[in-house]
Amino acid sequence: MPLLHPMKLINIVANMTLEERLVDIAEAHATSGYTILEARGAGSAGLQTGALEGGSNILFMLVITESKLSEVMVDIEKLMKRGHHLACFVSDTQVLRREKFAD
Amino acid sequence: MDLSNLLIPAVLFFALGFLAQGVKSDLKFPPELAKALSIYLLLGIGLKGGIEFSHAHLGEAVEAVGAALVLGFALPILAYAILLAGRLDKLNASAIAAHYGSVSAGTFLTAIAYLNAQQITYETYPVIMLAIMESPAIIVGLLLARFSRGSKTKNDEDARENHMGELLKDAFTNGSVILLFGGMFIGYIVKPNSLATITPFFSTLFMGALSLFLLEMGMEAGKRIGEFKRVGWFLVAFGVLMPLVGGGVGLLMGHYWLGFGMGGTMLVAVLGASASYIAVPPAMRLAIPEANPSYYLTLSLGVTFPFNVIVGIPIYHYFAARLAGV
Repeated sequence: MPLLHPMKLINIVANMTLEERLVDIAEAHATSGYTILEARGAGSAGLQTGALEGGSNILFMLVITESKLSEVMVDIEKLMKRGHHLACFVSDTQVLRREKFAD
Repeated sequence: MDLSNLLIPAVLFFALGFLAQGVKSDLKFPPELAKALSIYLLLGIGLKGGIEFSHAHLGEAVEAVGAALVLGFALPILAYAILLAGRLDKLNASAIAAHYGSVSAGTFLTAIAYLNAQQITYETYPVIMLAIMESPAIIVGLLLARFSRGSKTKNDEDARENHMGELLKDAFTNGSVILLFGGMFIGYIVKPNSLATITPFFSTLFMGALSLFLLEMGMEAGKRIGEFKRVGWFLVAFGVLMPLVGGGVGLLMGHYWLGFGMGGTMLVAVLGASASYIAVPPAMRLAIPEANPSYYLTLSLGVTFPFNVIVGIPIYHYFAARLAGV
């Protein structure tokens, strides 16, 4: 089996208006990339049906090294402290081809 | 009031969507379709406004713009005062108030369809007022929120929510504002024979596209009935009463200040009565993140929009007719 490398996977569910700010955070910490999916659901901000911009979520996915995790979390928490409704989940993951991801 | 006037495609498609949701039909719209239709509708209204503006009498147009600004700035303050009297916290009150000072293009277009069906003529200035009214309420909402936060956030100076310049930029570069004003500019500047090439798309198909949009909005409104408990009965009652207050202000303004006939006065009432659900929610998401989006989306989309489409428009029509002495 090819070699797998341990990394951290951050999943953030937020309103689509926050996309630009999440991208700014990813770029500020020199991560190698991110993935954004459109998402629907319900939570503390009520029903998010995806039909109108104010009620449409995204799933923002970011894979980073463990050493960067705390600085990225500080920035995400700043957004939450300002009152933005977002949910953030961090999990251990493994990646193929370590060189695809920034240090 | 003749309720058979409500038997027009726009209202019936809305009711169909609402019903489909009520019977838990598996009917689903692709989420991107509503967004695409709202882009089309806003551009279409902007174009129509621009064409009207090019034949408008400048003095009257300026007066209509002035009236739109007064409505856009005054209604959110009125809404804010009512919400605070009902003991809602200041940040949620600011966010909800901004929705009620702004306008709903869907409601406005339903009112136009209603007037067209009865062959009632109307002044065209309300179309220009609609475009003007998108931004002032957002600005009032921002100012109210800033005032509500007071010194609490002073230690978080780098927060984007505290940068007034940036927030004002957001209010004026909002997607809906770009579409409405961009459409207006194009409609104003392009010669009639060139406009004829896009007329089939933006004019002939317009009411059909509106029907599709309203079908989906009916479903959206239906989905939000379940949220009523969460927002509480005071806010649901506000969602019914505030349009009557705003509609009343609009009726008086349309008749006494602007001197419009029955159709135009009814449209100004609809502008005063309607609450935004396209432009303002994303603006408030960014500017007043502390507010609960469930409150303002449920109110504007789940309560006020259906109320205006089914009950409000005939009421505003009735009073506009009384004022006009018809």
